[in-house]
Amino acid sequence: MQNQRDSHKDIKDLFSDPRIPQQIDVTKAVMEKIQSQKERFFVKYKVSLLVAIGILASVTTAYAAVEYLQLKNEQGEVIYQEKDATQAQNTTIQAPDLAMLALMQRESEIEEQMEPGTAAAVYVKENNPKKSVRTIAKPFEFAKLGDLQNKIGTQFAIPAALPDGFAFASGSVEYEVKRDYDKEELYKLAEATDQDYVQKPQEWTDQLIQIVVNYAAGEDTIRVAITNIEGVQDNTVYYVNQEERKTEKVVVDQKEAIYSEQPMRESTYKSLVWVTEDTGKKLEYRISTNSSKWNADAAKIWMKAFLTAK
Amino acid sequence: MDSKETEGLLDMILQGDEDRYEELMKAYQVKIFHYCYHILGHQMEAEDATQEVFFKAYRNLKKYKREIPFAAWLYKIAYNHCMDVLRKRKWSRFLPFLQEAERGESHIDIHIEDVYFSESVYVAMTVLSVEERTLLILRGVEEKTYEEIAQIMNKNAASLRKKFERTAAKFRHAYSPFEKGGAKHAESARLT
Repeated sequence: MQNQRDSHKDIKDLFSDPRIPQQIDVTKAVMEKIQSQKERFFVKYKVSLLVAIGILASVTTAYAAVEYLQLKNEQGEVIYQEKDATQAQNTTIQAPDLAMLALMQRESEIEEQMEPGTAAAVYVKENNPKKSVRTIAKPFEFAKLGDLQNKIGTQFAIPAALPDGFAFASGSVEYEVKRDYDKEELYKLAEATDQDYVQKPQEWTDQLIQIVVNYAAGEDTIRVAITNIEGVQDNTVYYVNQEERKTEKVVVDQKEAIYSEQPMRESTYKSLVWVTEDTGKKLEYRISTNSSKWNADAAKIWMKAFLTAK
Repeated sequence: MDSKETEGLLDMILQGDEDRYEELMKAYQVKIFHYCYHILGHQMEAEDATQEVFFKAYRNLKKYKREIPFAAWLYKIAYNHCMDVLRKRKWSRFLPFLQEAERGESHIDIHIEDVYFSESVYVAMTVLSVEERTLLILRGVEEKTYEEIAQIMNKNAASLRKKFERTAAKFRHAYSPFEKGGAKHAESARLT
């Protein structure tokens, strides 16, 4: 065998050329991608998680609720609360299954290929032992505030500009989708194709899920998400490592909100959350950013701007 | 890193100590990068491919069956990924470059130097299929056993042995050490 290898020494020598790069380090980029995948998982599935947790909370009313950070409405009902992930009887948050992550990654890729403002029932063949079909909705996207405002109507007033030079950069809106598909039909389609997934286009309803508005000032960005939480009992969000988060209650125009700071790998993730019921709809406002320009004081100014926007 | 250390790290990562994955990457990334570099013939694409290989490996870590070496499993992912990249690569991106090369325009040499270490090797590699390139690198350069290469490429070891000899001959035949305008590098003689 050695002789055989020696007979190809000329090839080995040729590919041992000193001009071939010897130093490479992709570890940081890969670890960041893994991390962002998990964060994305958390943000992306928060809405469905809220619904699932709402159901959970409805059967576990024996919780000593006072020890958690809560927002209540005038009737004393809990409209938002935060707990540590260990309090959720849902291990998905703490250790996402790798196959599940792979499935979600594929679904995200499919979503990325879809046109904004379209929806489809999608069945991915791989990493899908439960043969689940997911409705993937690509929100409507807007580069101009006027266009977004036309779509969402006057009951949501979105400020065009905010302090520290932040101005509207982009926005999106997503509605509930009419789930009109037959799983078996999709499975049959999947069997008949070599593609790794099949899909069936779906139509939108007029029931709002979420509006997202992005503001930018130079390289700093701030995201404002307005989420319809109607019917979500207690509106509980479970955080991984809740004890690492610094939280405080702030009050603006007699409305309570929770401001929090969570240390991330290379920055601090800050957010402000409050809930309104003024328009007859239960809406959660969540402003979040990694910007170093932002703090609890700035958060109050932003909240005021949204509360008083017309 | 020996297989015992690799196994130990894998156990820790699968139990939730994900930061240890960095150690695994450090141990294997240069090998995977070199493989991608020679298969794709492009430094930046090879760096991107290396990232993607390790990301895919992480996502599928639970599926890794330990009857094959971890390195072989990584090469398998890299092999499939590079095939995908080459499939997607648009010919139009390279066609003008090859046409100009035929006309002997000298700036082409400079261009290839930026992305791959040798134009002659690059040209010879383009004569080979991805399978043949993989075989040439894994056997001729990395000196892997045919059994391991068979696991990576999902092929029969005996047929790979024969194929390697033919591939090496094909590569030698296609390889010309003389860059345009004369011998630019150390490859001063045709391989024999």
